[in-house]
Amino acid sequence: MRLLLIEDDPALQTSLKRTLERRGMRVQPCGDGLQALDIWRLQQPDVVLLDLSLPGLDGLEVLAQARQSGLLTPVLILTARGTVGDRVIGLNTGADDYLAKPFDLDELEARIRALNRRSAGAGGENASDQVVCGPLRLDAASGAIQHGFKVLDLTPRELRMMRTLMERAGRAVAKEQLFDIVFPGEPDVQYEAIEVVAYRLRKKLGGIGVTLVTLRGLGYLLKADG
Amino acid sequence: MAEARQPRTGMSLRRYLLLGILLPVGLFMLVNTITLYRQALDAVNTAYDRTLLASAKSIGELIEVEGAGAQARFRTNVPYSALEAFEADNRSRMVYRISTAQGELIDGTPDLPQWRGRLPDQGPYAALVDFYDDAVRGDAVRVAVLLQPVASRLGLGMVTIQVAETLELRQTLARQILIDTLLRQSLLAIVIALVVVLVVQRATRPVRELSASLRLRAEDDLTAIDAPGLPRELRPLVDATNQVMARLHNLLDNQKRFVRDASHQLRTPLAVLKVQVQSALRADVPATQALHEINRTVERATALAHQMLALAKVEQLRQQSDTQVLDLATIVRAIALDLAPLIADKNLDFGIETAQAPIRGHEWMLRELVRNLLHNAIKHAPDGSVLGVRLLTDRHFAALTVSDNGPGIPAQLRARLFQPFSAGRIDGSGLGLMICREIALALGGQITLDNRDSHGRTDGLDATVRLPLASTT
Repeated sequence: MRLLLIEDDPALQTSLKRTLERRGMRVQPCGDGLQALDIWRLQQPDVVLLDLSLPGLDGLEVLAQARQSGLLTPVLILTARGTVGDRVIGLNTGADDYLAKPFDLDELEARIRALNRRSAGAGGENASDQVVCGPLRLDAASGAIQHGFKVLDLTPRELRMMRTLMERAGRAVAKEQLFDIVFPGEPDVQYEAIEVVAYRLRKKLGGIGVTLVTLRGLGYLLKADG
Repeated sequence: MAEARQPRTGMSLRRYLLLGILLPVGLFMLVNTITLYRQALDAVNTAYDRTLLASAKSIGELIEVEGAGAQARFRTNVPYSALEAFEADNRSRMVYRISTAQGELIDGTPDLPQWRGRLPDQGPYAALVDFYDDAVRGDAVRVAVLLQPVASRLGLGMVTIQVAETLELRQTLARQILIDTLLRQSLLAIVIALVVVLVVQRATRPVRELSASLRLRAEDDLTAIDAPGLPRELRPLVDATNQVMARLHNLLDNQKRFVRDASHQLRTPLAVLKVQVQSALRADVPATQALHEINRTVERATALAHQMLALAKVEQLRQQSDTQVLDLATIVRAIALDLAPLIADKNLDFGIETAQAPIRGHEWMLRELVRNLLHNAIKHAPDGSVLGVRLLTDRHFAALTVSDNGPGIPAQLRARLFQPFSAGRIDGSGLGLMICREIALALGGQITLDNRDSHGRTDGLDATVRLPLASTT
């Protein structure tokens, strides 16, 4: 996966480049907005990490110009301006995700991989990233969930629920959102039906190192044990 | 404060009283003077008219007649001394004219025009007398006219006697009266003005002294004003000012303490970091252990910086009026989803119930409020315990309650609950609660923290925020 890191703080640039490359990404750092646009056009990276306060050209301006010139690369905004206003502006300008400084490296990596997956799923070239949660792995080709060499025996509804939760592993999914995915086009089904699916799923996941957490009245969360 | 510029004020008390008293008094004096002058003039005229008439009458005595009717022949013998007796001084001159009923001059000066008037129906004098103004050789004169029947042994006839007098004396007298009146009235006006100025000066002296003493105060002197000599009417003003001072004093104290504590709090993690890094560099502790410690310190500093900025932002947003109506339920659920990983980490038994609650405010404020409340509860909840969030509404209020199974609030902490950085806290800075309270107040609501007690033990804490619902209109 190729990353364009647009960040003007040299210390942050160096450490981010080092750590992300250790995790198997190719990182092209750049500290100047105008220059970054040229690199973006030439190298066509898979994901762009964009700091908002930049010399030369402001981060939001870089993003706007890139989108105007037809660059569709997913963009993750990194900024110390942690306000709702900036958040809204960022997403309206065409950013795909947003992370406030200071951030957690694991969180950053997860967001980058999620963005890359999304563009790959939407017809991008790079589909090598795997969805994993603890010992479980989502097989991109078959859509099945594997535990070691075994395939988990799940009903289609359970599978849809598991896939959604695995793609966002460690983060909660609202039950309304899950319901629409698990029971697509089935308006007659009661909301409580999702609890039945979750209940069965939890039994099947027993003792294999992942936990399906219920947030009563809110949603569900899948996390790896330990 | 010492440099306070003179603000635009109303009229000065002195000018107000001066104008308020002198203007009506002056107006009254003017009317009074005019009336007095008129009356004096009338009296003077009447008196002089009488002498004029008397002189006409005495001339009448000196006329003799022969024959009657159209054949009457008049003879007069008016000596100069006859008129002299009536001349009041040597400045006014008197002339006379005696003529027949047909206007034929009998005696006197022809310069005095013949009287052609009609007698007034009911004058102040007996019939056959009138007074009028005229001119003799260009001088204005006052004329008395008397129709005098003349009878003697030899005949009977009617003559017209006119006596004219120039006006110098009357005018001099009138001017004298006017000047006297004006002098006396101005003296009165001056006395009144002096009294007003003096009284106002005396009455406002305590105010000026108070202002002077306030201006000379040290910049940070916010002690109560003591002004024993002040008029009773100004007491409420001083009391109100003292109350403002007390509030300012309190605010300033809090702010001073906050800055002092905050700088201490910000410096501490930096000091800790330095020690941790140096001990790792000297290999006093294994590098991994040192890094874990450093990571915890950084997290603490990050949270602190975030909270301090949040507090400043609440203050800033409070001044802005661009609020909107937001559904608190949506925000609560979104924040709960955000914080779900922390809930899962502690294996909490989490449950949430919400009802729609439209609140007018800034989205950031509501999110920050809910985030701090929930974060606090998660932090204090023991592993695997129950954590409940409930959002209820009644007609006018929304009540958001976060219930944990934590240790609750010890009695000795309760008094300093919303003071940041108070000693002996178990939950870090205490800024989170302060932020919650500031936001709740900014939104017109309140926050309460209640221990849930049963059988003498504390089961946990209910943190409740009550906010006014946005009116649906």
